[in-house]
Amino acid sequence: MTALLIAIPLLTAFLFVPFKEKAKFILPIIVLINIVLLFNLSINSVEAMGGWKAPFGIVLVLDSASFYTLLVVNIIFLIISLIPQITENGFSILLLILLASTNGLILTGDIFNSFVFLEITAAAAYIIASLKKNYYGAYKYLIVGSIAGGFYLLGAIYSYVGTGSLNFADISLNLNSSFLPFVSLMLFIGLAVETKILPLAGWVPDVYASGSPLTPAILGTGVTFTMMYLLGRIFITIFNGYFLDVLYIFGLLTLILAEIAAFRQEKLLKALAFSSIAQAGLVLSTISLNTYDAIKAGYFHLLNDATAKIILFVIAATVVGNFMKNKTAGISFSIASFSLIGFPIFAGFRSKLLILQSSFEKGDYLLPTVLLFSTIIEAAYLLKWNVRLWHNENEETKQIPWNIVLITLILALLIIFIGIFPDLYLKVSENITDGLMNYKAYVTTVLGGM
Amino acid sequence: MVYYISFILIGIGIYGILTQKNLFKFLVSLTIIDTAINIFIISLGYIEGKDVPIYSKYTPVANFVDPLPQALVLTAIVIGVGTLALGASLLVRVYEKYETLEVEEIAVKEARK
Amino acid sequence: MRRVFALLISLGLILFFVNSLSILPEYGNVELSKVSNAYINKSVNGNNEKVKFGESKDLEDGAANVVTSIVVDYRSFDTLGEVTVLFTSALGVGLILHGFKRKTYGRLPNFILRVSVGILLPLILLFGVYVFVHGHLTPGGGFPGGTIIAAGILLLYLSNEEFDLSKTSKFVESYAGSLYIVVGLVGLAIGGVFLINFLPTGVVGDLFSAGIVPIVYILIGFKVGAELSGVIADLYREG
Repeated sequence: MTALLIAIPLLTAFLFVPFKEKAKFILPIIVLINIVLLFNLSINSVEAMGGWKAPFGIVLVLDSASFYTLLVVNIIFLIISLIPQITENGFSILLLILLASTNGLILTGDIFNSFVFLEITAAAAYIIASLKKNYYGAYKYLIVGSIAGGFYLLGAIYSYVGTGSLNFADISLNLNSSFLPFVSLMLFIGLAVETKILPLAGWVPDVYASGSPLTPAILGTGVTFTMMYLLGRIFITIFNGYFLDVLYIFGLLTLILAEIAAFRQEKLLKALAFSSIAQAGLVLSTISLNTYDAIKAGYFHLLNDATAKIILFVIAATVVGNFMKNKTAGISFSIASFSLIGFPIFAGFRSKLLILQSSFEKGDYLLPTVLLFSTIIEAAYLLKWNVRLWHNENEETKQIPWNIVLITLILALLIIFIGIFPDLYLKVSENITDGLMNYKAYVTTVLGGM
Repeated sequence: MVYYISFILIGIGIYGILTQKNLFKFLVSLTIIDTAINIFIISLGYIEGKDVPIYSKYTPVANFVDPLPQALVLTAIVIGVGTLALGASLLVRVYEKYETLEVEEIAVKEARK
Repeated sequence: MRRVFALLISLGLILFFVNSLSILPEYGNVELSKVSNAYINKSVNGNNEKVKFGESKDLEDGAANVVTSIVVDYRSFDTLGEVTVLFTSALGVGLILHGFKRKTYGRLPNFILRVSVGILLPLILLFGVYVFVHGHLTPGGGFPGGTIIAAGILLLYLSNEEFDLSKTSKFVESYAGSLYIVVGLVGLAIGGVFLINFLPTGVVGDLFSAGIVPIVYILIGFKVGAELSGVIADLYREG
């Protein structure tokens, strides 16, 4: 039954090709069906596609980590589908494909299958990136993304040679240790583009700052969350913590460099794009500390970041001019940016505090230092933008649709709610961490008590 | 030997992407890398003295090379074609918008806006 | 300076790969992996007899072409994804080049071209159909077959200015893709697993064998043919 999560959106996408314009209305229904279906599935089930058992065939694994990631990603898609104004004609079908491919990427237990879904996600992302006539940025993204895809494929092939199969659990159990450095480096290069790790994140500002609210709202939240999950699955579950030290360094470098770059931007959308890179670096280095608390804090922060980023990107790309004319949207924007900085009573404060705690527990002082330093820079530029947008001399204003105002307001209230009672997000991130760290349970569920 | 050829081709492709200044040449370099990876994967499945993995009159009993890399390459080729088509159509649009494919001229036109 | 830097990076990369040669098996001396062994002997579900051409019956998978059996049966889910990649890019080419008009020259194409297309086209289409119908027995299958058909369509586009297939190709693409998933869903309904091979697999080497494999490959053939013709039609335009 797990396969329906992928089959239903895909079938709908295929059926709606001749009438692309109608896909807009079907998208929220399909996402809702997916979420309802998800709650009717039993956790810790393995489904073999075509009936070929692991490690011979492709399996879909639904454990607590993939269940909660699916939930988060599907809810993000639901939110996006409720703001149909930001989706241009014909692009709803791409969102259906993107939904199917992210679901597949989260569920799959096979490395080559994950490559295929990665490429579908990437192809859909290139097309979405070309919105608002941003063809040059999309082209750059395509070149970088395809090279990364090639490296991911090479990593998959090396692990096939070293293991004799393509199954994640089998690779984790049987991979010849001399293959480890090659495989993990190539897979890291492959994933670094989509998870936005420097030096392979050069495409992000061009693509996110195209002026279309859809591109950053979906690529920066749903897709990034999926990729971060996949990265955790590969490096924490499969390689059991190997290679995480390198990831830690790259994450820190990304965090500090991207924050400095964001500070120097002249355009709001570009600044937000760089901030998005920086947060990805922070999450990466936090989860690469590889303790239970740290991984929990990392995914918690990723959730907070995704919530804040939807608000920020959607409002920044739709509102023209002064916030005084659009007070509600302005307040949501300010709440989201305060959460991103990490002021007390906002959600971002909780997660940054947890990150600090967990890294002190690990005895690591480098990450807290960098984090505090970057928070100062972040506060500087986000406050600057807030002031600029509230006291804008620009008189031309445009009425923004009520559903955007409503949804961003609900999300902003959610941020404050999480800031006071963080249990909801903490439960999600705890479950993701449980699933990712429980390497033995994963292998036995997939391979069946070997 | 075949391994070396594919490694050198990957190197050439990466060098091309890092040095070239024409957008179309990026696409060419990308294709070179794709092809090199495909050659590499195929060569990993080759076993000397064995046959094509198809049961037929001439090979009624299994004495085959590794079929899995071939199946994977089939998938990889199709994915490569898809990316190539997308890249080409994006290039058509880039040319329409800037009337050039040179990176530097595009940068000048972008800055002027 | 930039060139030196690029040269260093590519050389480093080549060195990195050459380093990995020490762990790779020697060329031509590879051992069959356990997975490939199971695929070749068709013994994933525990069949210990050797497969023989024209004799073995009712195996777990009946395709004589082992690569096809992997692509369309053992790893069929990958192929569904692969079809989706192609579908996405065909869709993307259409969306990106939206609003372009068909390229016209305002005169009849060359006489030789028109006449030879009339002779060649049936042959090309027939060959394409042959390739994907026999995908489970001989080299080939839905992807090459579809590409050959698309080549025939390209000839039509070149020889006839009025010729337009984009509407039809959209419908074929849409329904062939949907039917592939429907085949999978029928498997889910009958066998409880998505994409299960629910038809009898017959004797290895027969035209009517291998259960759903030929059906799926024919669908893929139509879909790939329609998608690539669509891409050709979209790219054969000007602003």
